[in-house]
Amino acid sequence: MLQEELKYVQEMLALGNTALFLDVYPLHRFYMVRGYEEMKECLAERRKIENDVIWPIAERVGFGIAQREILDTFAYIDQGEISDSVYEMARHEQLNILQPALYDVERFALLMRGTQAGDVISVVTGLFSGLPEEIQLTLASQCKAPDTKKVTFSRNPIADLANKDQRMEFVSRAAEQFDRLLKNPTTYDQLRASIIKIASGGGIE
Amino acid sequence: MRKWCLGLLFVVLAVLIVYLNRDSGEIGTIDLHIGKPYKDVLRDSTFPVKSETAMRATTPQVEDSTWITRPAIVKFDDPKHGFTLPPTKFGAIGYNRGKVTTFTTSPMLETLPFDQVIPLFNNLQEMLKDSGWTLEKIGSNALIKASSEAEKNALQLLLFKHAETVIFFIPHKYSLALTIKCYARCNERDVKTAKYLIDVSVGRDYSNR
Repeated sequence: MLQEELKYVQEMLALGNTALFLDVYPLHRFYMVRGYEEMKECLAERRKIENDVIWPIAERVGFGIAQREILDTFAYIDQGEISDSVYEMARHEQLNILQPALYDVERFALLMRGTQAGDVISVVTGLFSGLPEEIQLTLASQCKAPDTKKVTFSRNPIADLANKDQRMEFVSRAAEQFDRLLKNPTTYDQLRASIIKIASGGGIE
Repeated sequence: MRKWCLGLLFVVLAVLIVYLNRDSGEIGTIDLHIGKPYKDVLRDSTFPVKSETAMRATTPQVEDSTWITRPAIVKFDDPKHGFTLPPTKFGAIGYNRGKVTTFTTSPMLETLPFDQVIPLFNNLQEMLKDSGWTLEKIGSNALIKASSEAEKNALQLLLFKHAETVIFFIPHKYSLALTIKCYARCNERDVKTAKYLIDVSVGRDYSNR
């Protein structure tokens, strides 16, 4: 039973990650190629290509809905306010994509509520060793990163990943730590190397 | 004697916990508009905004977003272009530098069948027009019409393909996306069993008009 639950959680997390990428990457690409002025004009039209794109969560989340968080994100990027844009985009991801796609699904939410207690945690870091592990985000290409390059969800045994504002605080800590790593020349170089490794299909040590 | 005292203390604490967690039955309001300072949202709202607000892990900590997970009524309190949405239990308000930047919500307490969601959607379109919001002239942006049987049938078919959105704005101030989407049992393509949601998403106006 536990194996089944682990598999289910892993599949759901993979689905969430895929959906986020499919939503966020084309937006950034469009901005990069066409700029903000055209994005303002075209954002509301994006929904019309739902049947022409890969969108694995169509049953729960409509593709390409023009929420204002997206416009705000790219307005900040356009103004060079990158840190502000990160928060606006993170909110869009949590509210408009992940919440309806994953956390409003009762079975998944129930499993994630118990996660910090140690039942289904191993799957989050991809380890089926049976040893409970905490939820953490790794800011490098390694699955097991040193302390400076990982962010722990919570030390609280009843922390709830299905809770939106607890998740947002986790995202915030990750963003701030990532920012600090980028501002330090040594860790900047290490992160850059990690990202290049991932982009070329390598990494994930 | 000591056991008796502890027992009594336990009962008193249990009653106190139940009392403090009781549901007053009243739905709190969140009074906001884009650009309104967070402290003013706190002051004007009866919803427990502070306890539902996620903070950013900065030094000092600053507010990032308020998450609606229980019934609330959002009042957009601009003096000229204000409106009140029907009760919701889903949504989030974003802040940056101490002020509201965006809010997105579904102004309904549950998903609705097509014949109930359409009057609600029409009412929201009318309410915005009455409050001075106009259609932004971008792409194929237009009001969604679903009065006649033919219009309703066409909209039903469209919503099985993708969501429909109308963009309203107040030039140089606000932008609002009003969306209607099929949310549950959409694959069956049966309007009798499908359930629908409306989204309202508000932010700043970035148009050049």
